[in-house]
Amino acid sequence: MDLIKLNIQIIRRYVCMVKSSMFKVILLTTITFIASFSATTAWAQGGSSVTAQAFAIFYGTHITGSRANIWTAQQPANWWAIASPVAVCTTQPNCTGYVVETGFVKGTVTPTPNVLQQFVSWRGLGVPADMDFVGTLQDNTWYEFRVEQCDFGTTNWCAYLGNTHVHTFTNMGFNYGLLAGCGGEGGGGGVPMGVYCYNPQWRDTIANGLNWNLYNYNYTQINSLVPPHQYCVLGGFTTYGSYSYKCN
Amino acid sequence: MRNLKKKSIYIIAIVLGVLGGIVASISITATASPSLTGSIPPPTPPPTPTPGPPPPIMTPEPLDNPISSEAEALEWAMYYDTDWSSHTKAWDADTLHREPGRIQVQAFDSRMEEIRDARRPVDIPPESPAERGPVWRITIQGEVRVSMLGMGAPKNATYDGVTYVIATNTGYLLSIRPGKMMDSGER
Repeated sequence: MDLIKLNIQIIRRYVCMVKSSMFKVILLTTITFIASFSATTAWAQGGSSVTAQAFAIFYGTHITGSRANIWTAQQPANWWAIASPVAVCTTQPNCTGYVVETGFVKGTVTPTPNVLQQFVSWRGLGVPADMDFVGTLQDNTWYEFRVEQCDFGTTNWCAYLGNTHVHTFTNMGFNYGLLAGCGGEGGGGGVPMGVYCYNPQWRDTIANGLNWNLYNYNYTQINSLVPPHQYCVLGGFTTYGSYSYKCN
Repeated sequence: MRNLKKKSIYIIAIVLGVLGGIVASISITATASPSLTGSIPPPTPPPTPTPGPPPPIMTPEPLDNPISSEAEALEWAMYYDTDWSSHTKAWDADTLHREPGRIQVQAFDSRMEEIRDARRPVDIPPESPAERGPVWRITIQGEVRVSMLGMGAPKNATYDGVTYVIATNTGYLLSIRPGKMMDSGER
């Protein structure tokens, strides 16, 4: 009987405590602290498993090529991956369709860790990405990467380094895209990508002949969240990457 | 009046909580990520591009001893797999014999032969500097998460297996291909 009384007393005290303003204030502060901590951390890291990206994007109607000069800078070592592709994708505004791209990748994933590689990749509808490595590149060098329809009207897509044809994806099921892109990509927020797309261009051989046309920005230096870089990756991951924008 | 005082105290509590959370998060994130502390200097701005061809792709140094056995090929695959993939059911060198059928290791006389065998829509043109010598193809079956680069590539997808193609003479990874997608990982 005494034990029951004691328990009732404890419960009453607990109820009083919960009712007390002081407790409510502490509880409120703790909850907002946790909520704000989680939200800020997730925002700063771009989520736990997303990839920070920023691309210069051009939306077109019959894009048959995308090229840009890309500076390989001297990105720090030992990040999972720092990459900078040029791409053509068949959907806009989000790249959820076919996509073909080429660029450099550097990080612990490259055959010799932290030594740049040119990669070429393709993804189809419901088909996983397929990635090939072409060879080793140098730091501190301008390279022109290009992907384009190999021959007018075909569904073969060629990848180039400068004027050297390095790789072909054949019978891709599409002969033009709606989106051209160039930019940086790294595993996670805060990756110091330091990617530059100079003179990114698209072409539309169907409507516009063999001309190459400039799009969006010229230089981009991307380092998530960290000024004083010219562009920042900020915000949530989308299917084609976060937009980069001038952050200082 | 009393209600107003109470409300003010609650508002102060919320503000303190929010500020505390932000400050704590920033300080923790900055410690965890060196790039946020500013300890990594930004890359030097590039010079203006000059006309002319870029430097050619460099050819990797051949290994002193080319990959000559299934066991060696598997070791190389394990080396790359650590960075690219995360298997639901772990594997090691013994898995090849312990779980027949889970891992396939196959040697090919050339990269193009492997491409044709896999029926991949790929051609390596004659002028390409890409390696085209003998290769090993290693496929590890089972649910696996593969981190793929690229625009719109799902970052958290799981696949049914993953395949690596590794150059026999240099040990270089030439190709990575996840199997059929099981879950896009997008919620």
